[in-house]
Amino acid sequence: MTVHTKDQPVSLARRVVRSRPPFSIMVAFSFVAAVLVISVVGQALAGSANIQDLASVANPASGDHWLGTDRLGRDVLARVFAGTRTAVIGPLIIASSGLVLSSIFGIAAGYIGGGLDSTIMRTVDFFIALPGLLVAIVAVSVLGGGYGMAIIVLSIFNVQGDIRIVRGAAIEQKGLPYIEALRSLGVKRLRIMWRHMLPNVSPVLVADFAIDFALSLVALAGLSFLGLGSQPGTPEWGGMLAVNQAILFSNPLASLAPGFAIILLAVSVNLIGDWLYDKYTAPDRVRN
Amino acid sequence: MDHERPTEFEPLLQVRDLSVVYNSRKGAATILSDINLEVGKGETIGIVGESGSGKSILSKAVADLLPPGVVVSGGGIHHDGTSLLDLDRKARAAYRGERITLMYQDPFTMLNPLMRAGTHIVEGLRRSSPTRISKAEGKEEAIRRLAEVGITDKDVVDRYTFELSGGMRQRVALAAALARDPDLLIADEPSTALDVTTQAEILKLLSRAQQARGMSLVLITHDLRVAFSVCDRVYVLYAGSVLEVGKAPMLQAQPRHPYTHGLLLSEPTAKSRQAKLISIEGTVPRPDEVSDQCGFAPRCRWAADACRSERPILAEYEHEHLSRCIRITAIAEEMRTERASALAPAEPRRVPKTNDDIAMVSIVDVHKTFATGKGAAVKALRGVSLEVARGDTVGLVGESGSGKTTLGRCVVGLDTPTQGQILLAPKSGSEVPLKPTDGAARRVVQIVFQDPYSSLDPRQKVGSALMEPIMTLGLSRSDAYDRAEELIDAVGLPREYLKRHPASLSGGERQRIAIARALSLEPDLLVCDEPVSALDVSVQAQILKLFRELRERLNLSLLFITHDLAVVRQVTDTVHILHQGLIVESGEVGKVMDSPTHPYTKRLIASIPG
Repeated sequence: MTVHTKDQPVSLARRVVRSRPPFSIMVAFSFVAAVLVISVVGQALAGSANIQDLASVANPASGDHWLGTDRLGRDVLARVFAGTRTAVIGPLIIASSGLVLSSIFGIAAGYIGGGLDSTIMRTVDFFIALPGLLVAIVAVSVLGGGYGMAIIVLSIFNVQGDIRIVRGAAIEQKGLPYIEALRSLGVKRLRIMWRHMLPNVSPVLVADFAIDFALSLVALAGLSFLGLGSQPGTPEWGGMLAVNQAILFSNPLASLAPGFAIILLAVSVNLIGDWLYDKYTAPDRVRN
Repeated sequence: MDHERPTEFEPLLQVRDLSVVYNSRKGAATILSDINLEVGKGETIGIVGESGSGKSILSKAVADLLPPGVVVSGGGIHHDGTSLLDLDRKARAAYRGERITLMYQDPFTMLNPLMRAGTHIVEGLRRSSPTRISKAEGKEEAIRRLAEVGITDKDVVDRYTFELSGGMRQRVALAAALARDPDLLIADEPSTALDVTTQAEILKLLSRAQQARGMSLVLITHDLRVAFSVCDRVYVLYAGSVLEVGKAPMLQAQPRHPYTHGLLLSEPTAKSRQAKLISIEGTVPRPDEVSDQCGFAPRCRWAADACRSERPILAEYEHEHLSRCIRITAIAEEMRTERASALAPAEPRRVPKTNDDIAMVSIVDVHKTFATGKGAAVKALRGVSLEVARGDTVGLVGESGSGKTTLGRCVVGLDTPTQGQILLAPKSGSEVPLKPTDGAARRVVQIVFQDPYSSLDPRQKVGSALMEPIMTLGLSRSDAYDRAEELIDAVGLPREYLKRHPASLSGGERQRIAIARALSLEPDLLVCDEPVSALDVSVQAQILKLFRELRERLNLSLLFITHDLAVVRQVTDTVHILHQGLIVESGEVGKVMDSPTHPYTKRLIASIPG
């Protein structure tokens, strides 16, 4: 018995998926890549971030200072660069912890179900009932700990939504015949969850990661804006936004630049997340 | 197509040299090319094709409902003298619905679940009547319209569509499509998603409505037998072009194209057991792959150089019978002999006898009750007993809701019976019988599911899918790989497929992989739950052949679950008819099908189209 392989139909959907990403995604990718590079080597570029030049205070953009200077005469561009690492690390930690915890608890709750599912989901419900950002504000102002404490609190309060979403995706997969086939072939439960469920819910994980990153970037910047994030004086986007409001009319870029940096990074990460989600869910939809 | 017509033939719909392409960022892909089609007033035509033939896109082009990116690139569509493609968007939208209406395959998604049955019909009435009708008048008219499609229960008007059965929904959909009194109804696989008995009713209803109203009907289907039972003329579509056109009885008696011939033969018959199942190897190509040759040449055993060097035209070979095959006169005789020999009935299979008379599986008085939301319970199985002897193939036939799938799942341990017991024969005779949920039962019984698209992990390569169960037995990676190669050979696929993902395989190939995986643990019993019903006709026959072959070679016992009596006839030795959780008739397959005794079995067999 032979079967033709030469005339294998390649579905249209599949070919579209393999094509180059659209322009907007390329731009978003380049921006995120630039931010990541700067967050690693930015410290070197930003050697001048804390040098005060009280002779040129709140100057607008010029050849010497591309984004002008702030109230203490520090170079705004250098400070935006220097703030990159802080801006990226917090959201990375929060989104990563969300990724790991939600895949463990979400898949376990969705696949095993029963008492374990109830226990996990009622705990999730409990945390969702508490306003995470407010808890973070209280925790940081009462217990101190600044940026680190904010990351810990936001990490704890960020996971619940992810667990719910991953659990939903896991339940959807659990009902599909391939999981039943694996069960009837005697494949162990842990292996089904790790080797089959996890890859198949991964598009959701990627999308969640992107959303978590963007939201916590904004949340952390918001805390710094309120003076609850990093130590005063450290270059940080949210803090700069707050402090430099005062010189909005003499050097608007001093507060606008970090503001735009926050917006662009959040939007880019979200765009990439959406695109990856579509890209990785598409092959499953391939049917003749 | 300007050959002679009977004088009374008056065309209502004319499709001329229609081409449709799909524009993507990668460029244009042809979906349909040079389609010529005519529907007379009061005529019923059938458009028959496998998936990928473009039959649904053709209907959507006529109804101006093409999906985004799919556009008409040439030709014209004329309805009663009006060129539809030249109308502006608004005029076209008014045309569709008023004069051309559509009916789709899936009765479960076609109707709005938030609307009552009557509302679907009244909506149509409002648009076509010049004056607004009152609510009461609308309801009365809706009741009348429902009666026309055989729903005499007046309460149905106020029911939500999700409260109705599939057949009822399809009737409501038909009534809604007819509400605007169209002169052309396009029905896209209207009976495919329904049970056999309901299917026959809907088809009868369609032709009755067509005759009573004198409207034209276009029936789109993958099933030649359905087309023959309803249509006056049939168009056979393949890879985006028409291969053959003819009157239904002529096409059925003497197809003039090897593809139609193959399609007819690969649909197994329910009338007798065929000694040899004939299938068309390979799959439907994309239209662009065969644009400069005969579209069927890559799969045709009669293809000559001339077939591959030029695209043949659709020519008339006898009165009103057109074919795109240039070799038809040369091969007609050969095709006829092949048909005659294929349909010759064969003796029932001789089941290999073994010394031990132990049953592979014995099912004793199994009940299964599912609890539903409001404390109510659904009794899926109400005391079923049957046995599958070693080497035997047992068919389990029933419609949806009969409990056949539930029983299959109980046998492999995916469900547990609420009452009764299922015992499996252990690997070696000395051990005690196994329960389906026992770990050791995995090596005794395995299952092949219906939908090959969802029964394989889309992220797992074929090789890894085959090796995974073998490695649970403690075999090394390289031993498991050797075994995977043997398995893929056994199901007739090339070894390089081990490195592929399921998404790059066709439905038939995926089902072969699913079968190979089920065989990986060397089970003695295979539960096959509708293993061919999601596949194209020509591929169905390939898979049925594979089952026949594997069964002999591996001395497998099969529990074959299906709704399709033709499939049962071809594959099984004994058959059990399941109806509402009870076995109503059992016996040797030939006896049960030739002389059924139970009224339900009789009804089932009477519903087989063709």
